[in-house]
Amino acid sequence: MTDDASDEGADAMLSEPWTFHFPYTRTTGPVVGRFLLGLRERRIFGLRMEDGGVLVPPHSHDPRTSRELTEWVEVGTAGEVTSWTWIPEPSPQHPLDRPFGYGLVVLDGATTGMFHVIDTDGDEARMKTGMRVKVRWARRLKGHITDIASFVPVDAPEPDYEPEPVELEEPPTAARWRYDNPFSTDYTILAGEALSHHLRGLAEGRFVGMRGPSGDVLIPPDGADPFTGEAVTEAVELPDTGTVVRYCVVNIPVRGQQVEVPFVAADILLDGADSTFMAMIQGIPPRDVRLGLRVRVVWAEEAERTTGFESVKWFEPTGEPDRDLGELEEYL
Amino acid sequence: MRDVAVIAFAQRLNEPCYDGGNDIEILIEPIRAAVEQSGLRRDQIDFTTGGSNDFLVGRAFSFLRALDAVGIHPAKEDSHVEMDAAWAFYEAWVRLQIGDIDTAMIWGLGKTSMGNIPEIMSLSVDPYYMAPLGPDPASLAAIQARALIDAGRCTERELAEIAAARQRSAVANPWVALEQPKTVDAILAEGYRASPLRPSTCPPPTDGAAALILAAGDVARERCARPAWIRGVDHRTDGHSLGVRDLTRSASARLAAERAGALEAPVEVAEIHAAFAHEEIILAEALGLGDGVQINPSGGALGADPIMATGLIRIGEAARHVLEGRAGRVLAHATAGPCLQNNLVAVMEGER
Repeated sequence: MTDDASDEGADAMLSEPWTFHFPYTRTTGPVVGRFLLGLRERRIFGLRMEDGGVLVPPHSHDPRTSRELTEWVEVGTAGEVTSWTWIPEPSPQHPLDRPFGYGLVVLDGATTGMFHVIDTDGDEARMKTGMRVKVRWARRLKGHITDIASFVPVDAPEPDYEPEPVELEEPPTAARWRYDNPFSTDYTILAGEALSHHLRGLAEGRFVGMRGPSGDVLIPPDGADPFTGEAVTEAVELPDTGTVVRYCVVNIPVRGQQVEVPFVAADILLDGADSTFMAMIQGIPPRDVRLGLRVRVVWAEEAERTTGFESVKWFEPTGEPDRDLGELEEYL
Repeated sequence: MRDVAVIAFAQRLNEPCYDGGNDIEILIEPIRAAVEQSGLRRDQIDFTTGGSNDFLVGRAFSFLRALDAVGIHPAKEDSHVEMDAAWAFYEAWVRLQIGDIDTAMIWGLGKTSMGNIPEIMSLSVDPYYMAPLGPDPASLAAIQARALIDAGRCTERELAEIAAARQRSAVANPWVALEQPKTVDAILAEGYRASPLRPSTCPPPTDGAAALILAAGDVARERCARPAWIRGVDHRTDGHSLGVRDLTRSASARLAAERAGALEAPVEVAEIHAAFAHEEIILAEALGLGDGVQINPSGGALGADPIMATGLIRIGEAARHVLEGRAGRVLAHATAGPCLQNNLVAVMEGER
């Protein structure tokens, strides 16, 4: 965690940039698959609807009657724009880096509008409802909606390349068509007021919990006292010692893990706290770790401490007698 | 049907960026205030549910964190919808119809400032045919706005007039941070975000949160001087593909309004979830809102749009007119999906 406003001093809210990656693989099913694989061959297929119209792009069921559609119809690669918008300032999520349009295109032979990109070389004046457009195929055809790079005015010149289907390891089938479709997006996560107290404490080698209206001291605190739902308001400094109330022996190495397996991960109830958190146990053979074991934190070297849990290296036994498990019943 | 009423509603200040706390802390105050207003203790609330979206706050199962602000003692019957909290309101109403419990609390969380909303919302459309093309809600709404203009149903100036009127109402609303309304001419002088929509005819980026409490029958009468009785509530959806719909009408909003009984008698106030100015025109027609109806006196979603709480706030704002004795019959509307795909309508009345 980093200070997002370090000039505001010790009370500034902590925040951290965070990127969420969604490594999706899409499986299309036979209908969407047939349409997308058609694009790879520069052909566009739709499905005949019960009213006689042709649905492009196709879905498996009739949008009005919900009956399954089965009659495939090939449609043209040119058509008419029925509505549109112009994006004057594209952002990185957009397919083109110059001004462009989005629109609904009813292809020749189809009766429904297809959403896509309309590229007039940045010229908004060429955009008109009712304008005729044709497909501009992408350079490489992948069996993906972006095989249609865009729709362009019918009189636009042909591109200076010949579109080519990408090589696939085996011939694709519509029913089993799948492709990678990764997505990622950036966040700035706010730690919150209560958690910021705690995280700042970690950077200083101190445990800071927060007390709520129930009287419970929560560490790490997330803002509300879960017992009452009210805000936690009072920062409480806690000692370096606590008790093992749950644990497991980890035998499988985890990427980025600093210690060798096997090691013990345990829930620690700090003295004076009413909630637990997980940390590693060292300085004792895993087989000797037990419920009620008294432990003390080993802080990271001062230079290595952060406003994050990296500041806690692990816990080690204090050598004190174990706590009576009867007193810890609600945590076990 | 069992008589169920809104007995309390609270929200926090709707502002572009709430930097005073995380996704739990933003919920604490509205939930606390709604509970206090209801006169119930938290342990007297039988059912809790909420509406939020993990993608907005960048955390998987983020609604579990929200439970901290709900208060978990004693253990609650709890639920959640990954939708606008208006649909959690619907779920709670259905739950109360079963008859074995009398009270429910619904929370809505709209903390949008931590992520890239246009990018995130592009994930909510068809993943095969549309999402790879990167459309954000404004682009899709703009295609609908153009269809409405082409059909002769409005002009760009009329869209600016709607936006200016809602901004004036939002400035008067103490729960919206907007300080200065723009004039129609100033709005028309804005550049396009996605033509024919401009920044002011699109919803503003907003952080917000709200909570609402429902009670049945005598519990509502005991706890509230003037409960806002839910006379009808219904939600209906259109197809997802824009190309198979008549974008100038909202068939699903019309059907939901019919099923909720909205068309049986005029309402005095309507709080409708029109995040883009042209949506007001489509919805006013679908919901049968005539000239005498006060539309979005709160400023509506053009004043503040804390995504996933916006619809619940429409219900709460409409209910407040009954709770505070300013109206006898009101309508609330919420929407989800591109171009008004999915629509919920609730009709509330004071005691007859």
